[in-house]
Amino acid sequence: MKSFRLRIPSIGVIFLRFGALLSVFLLALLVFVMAGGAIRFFREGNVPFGEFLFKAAWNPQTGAYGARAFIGASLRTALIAVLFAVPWSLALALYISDYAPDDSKRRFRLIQEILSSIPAVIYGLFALMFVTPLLQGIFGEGRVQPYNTLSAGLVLGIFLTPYVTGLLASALEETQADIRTAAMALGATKAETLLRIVLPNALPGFFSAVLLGFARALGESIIVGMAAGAGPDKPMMFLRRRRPSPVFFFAPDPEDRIPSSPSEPCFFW
Amino acid sequence: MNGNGPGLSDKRRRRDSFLRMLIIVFSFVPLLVLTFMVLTLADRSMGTRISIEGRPVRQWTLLRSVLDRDEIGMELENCGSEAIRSFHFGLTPKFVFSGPSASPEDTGLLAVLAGSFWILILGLMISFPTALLTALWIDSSITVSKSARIASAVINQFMRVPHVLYGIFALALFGRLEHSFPGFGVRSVGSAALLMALVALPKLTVMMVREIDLVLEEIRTAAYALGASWSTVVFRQILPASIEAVFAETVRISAGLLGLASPFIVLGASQYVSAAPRGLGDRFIILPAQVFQWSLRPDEIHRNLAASSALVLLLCILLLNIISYTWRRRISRRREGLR
Repeated sequence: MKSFRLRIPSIGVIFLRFGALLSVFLLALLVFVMAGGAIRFFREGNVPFGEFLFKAAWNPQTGAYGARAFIGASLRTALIAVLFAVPWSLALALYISDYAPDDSKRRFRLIQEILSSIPAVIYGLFALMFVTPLLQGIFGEGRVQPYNTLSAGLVLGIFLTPYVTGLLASALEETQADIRTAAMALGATKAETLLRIVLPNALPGFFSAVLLGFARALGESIIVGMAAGAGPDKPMMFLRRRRPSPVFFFAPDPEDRIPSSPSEPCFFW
Repeated sequence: MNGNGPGLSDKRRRRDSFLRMLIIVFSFVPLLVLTFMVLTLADRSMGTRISIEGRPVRQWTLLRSVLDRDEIGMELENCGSEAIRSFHFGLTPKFVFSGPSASPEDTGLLAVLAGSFWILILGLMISFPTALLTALWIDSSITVSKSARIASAVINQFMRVPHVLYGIFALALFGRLEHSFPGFGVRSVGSAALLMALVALPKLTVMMVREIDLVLEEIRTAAYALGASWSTVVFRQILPASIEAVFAETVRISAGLLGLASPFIVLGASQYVSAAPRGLGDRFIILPAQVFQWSLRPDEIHRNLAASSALVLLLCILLLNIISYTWRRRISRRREGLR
């Protein structure tokens, strides 16, 4: 019995370590393949890094690899998304943390969970089938193209809402209950407590939630690919079609597909 | 508690109720939008169709076929005497459970659904044990081992990597593998399952670390106090105490994985498969990728297919979520009973 007990731990430890090593190895491999691809692209393609980031011309046949259009469009789409998502998310988070009765909080959490598991393709379909026709109805069919950045940004904002709400709600919950109670005890109304006590306290959490939401919006490809299209057009207006940067991995032409864009990993880490 | 005492001035009271109204109204906007989303899909999944000799020529959405009756009548006359006008439901049992077909009017989702679930299950079979071992190791040695802390930080970082990058990584890696082993296909069910395993790995690990962390500290301490060895504590106490919750959470995560399209489109999901996959080397297609491909077609008939299959996808995900939710509720009730 004793020897059996001594043998098991060593096997157990090796077993666990092996599993952990395997997963960390796989994930590290991901970074190395990306970085290797990016380095090879910049070395062998003779593309200076600055040129890649800031030049507008994208024409793989002539060797012009300027990704400014893609990066700019990405940033703009993500900005629209975050601006659109924050008001609803903040309201939802405040409602969940301060206004909802206790027994309906669980229901809200369930709804939020289901919302965050709705796949991006469905949001993309929504942009294609509802938001773009709506925008065409508002601004006129001639001015809004079937693939446009505005509808991509708006739908991306809806997609972000449950995620940002979760982050904001946990930031609001970090404000200690006794500070709230103290403010109430001093005669502040609920509105005053929220605006003067809870929100200033949760400000750092608020900013980090917005930044994380922004990063997530930058990385989301399928909504943008469906709603904003994937043509390397020159970026001019919000209502034109645009190719934000995660999307250019969907390019059907292998010439168009670069091994990896270093701007992507940089944004997320 | 709500502070509306008799001593409040009118201005403060008005401001308080205004903010309350504002928050409640704003917080229902996302729900409203999501209702619109489902309604749009439902609207697109059915409608009036004009077909000639059994082949659909044009289609209108439900809303359009109610609003533009006259236009449809004129179109019917233009199409000639053979044209037949009918009302078409997209989401029928025939659509969900019949095999694929080259013509859009009698294609079915069975092969696509089979591919989706096969890839999901194969991927989970690879990544579930790996993630479980990683989580057990991280949880039991994070206080003593620096490498466990590093591993935990790395895996947490990978939660934020966008899904497309996994697809690009898999394309690069499997492309090289295909070069050296000719039998290995990049666009096969096997490599899609590997990709699924890779995407699932950080999600599963983070979830499992959280679930294992919920195991009562008393159980650990008591087991150690009784003289149990480290691995006995891990495998005989912590693992059995947390495994059911881990399974329930895995169901929730797999609902999210089922809807994942972008990495698989990058890897090269097929446009069309003729049958459900029979082996690891077959070409693969998954439901969200199919929705994506159909939605890019300009004609209304393919958009109708996209909307109907999106509804099927939504139903699958809702079902998995409900299963996971009820299971977790039962577990947490039992835990409250234990305390």
